[in-house]
Amino acid sequence: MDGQPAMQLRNLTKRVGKKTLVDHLTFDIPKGEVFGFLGPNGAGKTTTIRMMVGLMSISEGQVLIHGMDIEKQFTEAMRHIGCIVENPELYKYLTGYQNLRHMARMSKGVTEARIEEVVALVGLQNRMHDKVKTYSLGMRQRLGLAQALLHKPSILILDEPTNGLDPAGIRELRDHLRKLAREEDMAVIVSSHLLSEMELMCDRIAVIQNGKLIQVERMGDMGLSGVDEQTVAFEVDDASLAESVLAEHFQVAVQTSVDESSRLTLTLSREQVPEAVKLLTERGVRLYEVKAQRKSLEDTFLEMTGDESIA
Amino acid sequence: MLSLFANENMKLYRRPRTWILVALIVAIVLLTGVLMKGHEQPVAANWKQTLIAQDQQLTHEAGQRAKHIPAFARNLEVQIKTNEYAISHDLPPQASTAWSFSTQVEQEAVGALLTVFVAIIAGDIVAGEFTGGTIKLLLTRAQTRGRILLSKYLAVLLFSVVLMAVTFAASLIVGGALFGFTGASAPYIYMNASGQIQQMNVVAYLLANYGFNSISLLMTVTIAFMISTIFRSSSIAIALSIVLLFIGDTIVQVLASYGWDKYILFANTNLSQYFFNGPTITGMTLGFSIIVLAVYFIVMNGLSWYVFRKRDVALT
Repeated sequence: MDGQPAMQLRNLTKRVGKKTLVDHLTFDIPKGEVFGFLGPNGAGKTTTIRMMVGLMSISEGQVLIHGMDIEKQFTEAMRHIGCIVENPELYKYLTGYQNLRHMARMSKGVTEARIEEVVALVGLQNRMHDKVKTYSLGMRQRLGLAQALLHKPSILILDEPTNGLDPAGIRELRDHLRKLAREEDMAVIVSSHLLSEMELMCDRIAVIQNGKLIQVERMGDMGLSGVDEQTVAFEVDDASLAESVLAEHFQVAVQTSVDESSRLTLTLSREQVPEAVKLLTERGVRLYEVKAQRKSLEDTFLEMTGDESIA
Repeated sequence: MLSLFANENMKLYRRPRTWILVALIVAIVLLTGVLMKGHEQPVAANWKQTLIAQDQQLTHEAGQRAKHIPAFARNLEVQIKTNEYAISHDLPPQASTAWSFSTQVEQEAVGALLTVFVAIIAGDIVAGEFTGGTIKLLLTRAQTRGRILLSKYLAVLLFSVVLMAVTFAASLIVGGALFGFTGASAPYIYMNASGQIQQMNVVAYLLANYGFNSISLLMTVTIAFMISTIFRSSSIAIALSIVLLFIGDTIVQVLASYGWDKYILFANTNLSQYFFNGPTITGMTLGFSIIVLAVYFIVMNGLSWYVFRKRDVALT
């Protein structure tokens, strides 16, 4: 089992009537990583996730969980999966504890001790015997996470997990998920249309649009760091002097804007940045700020998906 | 499988709603008892004269407005014949006892209510999970959909048994307290399927009633459960089941002129018609009804099972 991806999608396709919602998705999801599933609204993220957890039938292709086909070996495959699809739906008229008992009964080998362990993990000890209808959204999210983790899954799937959470809740969830991936070697799959959120949470991102896979990339490769060419902005006291110095030395076009402060922007490689700073200082230009304007994930994302609006 | 069944029961009995239904049954049994006690009349010494007078009145009525409504005329005829039998066999009308009270409660007060309550629970048990979104919790576990559905079906069946047992126990206790447990060997006079007047023990009649009613409740569970599985909205499922169950008999009567109305489910749910009073549609037999019920049972449950297994759980 080692070395094998936790989950594999092979030509996964969903058709409803004549519409193709998900179109031949093929990619692997490795263990020990937080895997992001990114796309605009209506791109097919939720449909894909519903096929990955057996809520929807598969029109064509396969979902393999540790090599097991989810359609042919449903119960064996599902043993490895914990999930929250959209909002954590729970039985509001039961207590938190009863909800967990309910989930525990549906899986093999979940002991009373394990329930306590999970409750402690999500920090709900004090409210366990209150009815879920008295819980706040954040607490429901935590209970949802507890039920998803109860049977020690090796793959955790969360659909839009940050929906409706406040910034503190999002941060807490993010830390939690990263910890699970690192420490338990779990494959954590998260879907979202919030780019900034994915940027902070994920190790790897698959971008889909109109049901098609656009790209699967490790976060570091997505124009965030280590890119050779980047736009650098310098804020100086004497813009014209700085401009002539830089233009002469690097033989590149320099854009100058003089509004409140004098700002120069030019394209340099990473190694050229300290060189430019040294040069400007030697020529007596006072330097207030140097800023590399890296392409954000959002720019990359918009570039990849084009400008057409879907939602 | 057992743990899934335990889950369904936990969800059912942890809801106040379930207990409200049970409490309503007990309350209605109690109310019926108190009202009957208030109107209780001692058996008069000249009971034969009373029955003869009643017969004359009934005969008169049968000749008047009742002749246009076959079912009504039939009821009157049974009543008249029963009275004649009582007079000729010297069987005075019995004072109410726990046994006769329990039978009466089941037939006249709580029987229809049992159907409605069972339809409420069965109509909600699958659809409610869709409405609440919790179906996603159930279907993303290492359990097949067939087992989940079966556990729900069994839980509703158990609930129907519980409701019947509550009705039975409550009516016997209330009846016993108000009228006493005497008269267990008293006769019950009825007309059998071939139109002869006969008598049987009241306790036996009581048990027979519950027996036949449990078969029609089983069909109620099956219909409501199927509707619940297909419609996914608990309010629609509950409303539709109750409406269907109530207009069922009317449908049979409206369609009485057609030859195929005996194939309608509701013409067959009451098997007691082959033992008491005779079948509503002439020419039907017990064997025929049992086969019709079995076919409906298999088709409806098969449909629930097929739909539930194939269903895509889309956006909820």
